[in-house]
Amino acid sequence: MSKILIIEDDLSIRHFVTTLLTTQKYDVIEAGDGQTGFALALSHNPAVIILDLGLPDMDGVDWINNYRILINAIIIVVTARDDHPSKVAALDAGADDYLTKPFNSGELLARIRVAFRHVADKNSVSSASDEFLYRDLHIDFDKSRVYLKNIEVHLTPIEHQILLFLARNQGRVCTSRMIIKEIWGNTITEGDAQNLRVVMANLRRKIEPSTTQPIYILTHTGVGYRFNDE
Amino acid sequence: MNREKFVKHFRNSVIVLLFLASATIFSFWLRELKWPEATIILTYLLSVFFTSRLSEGFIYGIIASLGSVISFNFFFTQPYYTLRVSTPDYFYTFGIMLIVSIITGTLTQKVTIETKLADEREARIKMLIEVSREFFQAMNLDQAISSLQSRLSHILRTEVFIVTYSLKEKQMVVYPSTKLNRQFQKAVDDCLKESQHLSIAINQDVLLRHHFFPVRSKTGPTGVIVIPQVDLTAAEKELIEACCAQLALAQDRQRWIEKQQESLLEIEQERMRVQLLSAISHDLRTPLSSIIGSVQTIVENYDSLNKDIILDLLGNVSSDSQWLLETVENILSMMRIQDGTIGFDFQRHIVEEIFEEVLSIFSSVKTHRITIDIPKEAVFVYVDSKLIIKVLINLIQNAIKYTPKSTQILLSAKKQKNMVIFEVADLGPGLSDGEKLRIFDRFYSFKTKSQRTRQGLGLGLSICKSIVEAHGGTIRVLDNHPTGCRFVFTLKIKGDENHE
Repeated sequence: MSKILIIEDDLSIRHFVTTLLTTQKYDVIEAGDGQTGFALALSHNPAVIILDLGLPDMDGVDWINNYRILINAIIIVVTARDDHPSKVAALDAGADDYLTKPFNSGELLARIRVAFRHVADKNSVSSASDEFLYRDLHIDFDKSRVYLKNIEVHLTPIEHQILLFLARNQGRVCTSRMIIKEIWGNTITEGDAQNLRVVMANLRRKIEPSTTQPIYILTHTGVGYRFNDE
Repeated sequence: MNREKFVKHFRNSVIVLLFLASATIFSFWLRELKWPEATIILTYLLSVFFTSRLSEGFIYGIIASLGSVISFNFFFTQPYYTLRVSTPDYFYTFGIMLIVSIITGTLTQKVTIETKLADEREARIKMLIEVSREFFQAMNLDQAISSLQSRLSHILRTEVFIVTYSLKEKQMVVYPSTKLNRQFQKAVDDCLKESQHLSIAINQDVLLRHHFFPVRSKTGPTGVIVIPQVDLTAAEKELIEACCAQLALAQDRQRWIEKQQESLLEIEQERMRVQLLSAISHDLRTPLSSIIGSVQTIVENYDSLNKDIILDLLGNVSSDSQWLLETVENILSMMRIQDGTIGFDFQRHIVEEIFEEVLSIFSSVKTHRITIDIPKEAVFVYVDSKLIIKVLINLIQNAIKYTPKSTQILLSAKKQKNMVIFEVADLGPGLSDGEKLRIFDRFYSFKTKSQRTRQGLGLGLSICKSIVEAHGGTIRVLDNHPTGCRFVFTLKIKGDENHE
């Protein structure tokens, strides 16, 4: 079950990642381009895919757009382009997480651990829990109530929806676009992103112990938000 | 116009008749007093003198002279009320009287005209001096041109338009701001094309015309002075041409200054590029040789090296590559800023989200304690979040690098009017005044006592400065109390219209 597919054209990086992951007792398969990667993903059914966005035969974002529907794995994209738009595009296309080159081994291993926890959650999700518990935060989906240290927190309907959305996607970076689409519907303008930031600021004040060192909802500036899962 | 001429003739005729009548009436009184005839002649001469002084044109002086002689003859020589004379010596008297009065009249007239001309000339010269002074001192050419336009209108007592044409932007500006009608626009175009004085007749009138004077600068025609519907004298034309020359000169000067500034900027950029290149090649080679050397040593002597030495060498490799990464990132940001704000991703961000990201980067730092001070309410800033995070990271990294272990670093933000003031304050040794002056210069790096830390390119703070300034803010370094320094910078809460 701990099978990882690496799709990356740079030999040194692939080698270093493979070595690192093998020492951690993961089962690693490698692909040097998108086509091979897709074939291996179908035949081996890995739990996690580490996908480089700059592939020789196709753009990584296109790869996700084309194959996401056929692949059940958690996808972590790796990009050397340090710009928000490419990360956002990959996440919107269906990637679960991202890493920016150069990354260090600790970072990579942490993301992989998170990814496997997701895989485990995904399998147990069938039980469709009607409760969410993380640290002092308790969400009762059935009664649609939120408690912090057993005291009910009063949220506006929008704050409530956003919190539920992020909690259901715990550990996954949700782009602003994804959240806006979920809450407000389809049309997205620059003003919406700003409104979202205001709503998040209010939500943060209601549930976080510190606004600059949040423990529940983490900000990925310029990309989106993620519910903490560490 | 004909009406105007008529009024002028009428006024002059009235003057002639008035003085002639007054002289005649006065002379009747003199005759009653039985004063000598000569006083009557002198009275008439005086009237001719006044007529010439007050009327315009020599012809009225001459008419007055003739009128005087005839009146004298008619009223005051025997036989009275006829044009005949009793003795022929009167003809001599008439002749003298006529000659004297004509000479008096013309001389007076001449003086009058000359005074008037001198006044006008003086006014024009004064105006030209003013105009040239304004052009010379003008920080703003627009303003000087507007002023020229109003002065010219005033002195010519008519409407004046100045059209400037920028060769570079192919754009016309009209002072005062109006839209020229099609006929004028075409004439202006022709005037620019031919670079020659153009006058267009209106109706059948020969004298009244629209005038177009080209402004000829060194690079070609760059404007037109338009004076609609006037009859210009030669002197007025000269004045307008002088104004055109002044304007051309001012435009040339302006262009020259702009060009000089541009080339200065280019030289400065070129100098920086060369400096940067040499600094980069030196500073990149050093850590690279260390990395290559360490790794090769390990590869070639793996069996003979003990574990501690290998780990030590690899530690160097790790820190050197980290250093290389930072340097490359800095160089990349600097290149991005040099292209201006075109590639910037300006958005309204909330300060706490930016701080959150900065803090997460320093979460593993155990040597210093980073504390935060921000307003309770959410505060927006209009920034490219990645670049501002970079500024804060650079400032905090500096604070960590140059202040003693376990001291505190304060990261704060507060709102002031339409700005947010950010601050990174440390409790380190602080900076001397000389260092404070040079600290934002490119390639300035601190002298550290530690031999382990590699000296940077000194790019970090100069990049911070460039980023903050590209956002329309300012950055300064101040003393902190009791010790240390405070890096303070401002950012806008809202963007300008052209950003949004």
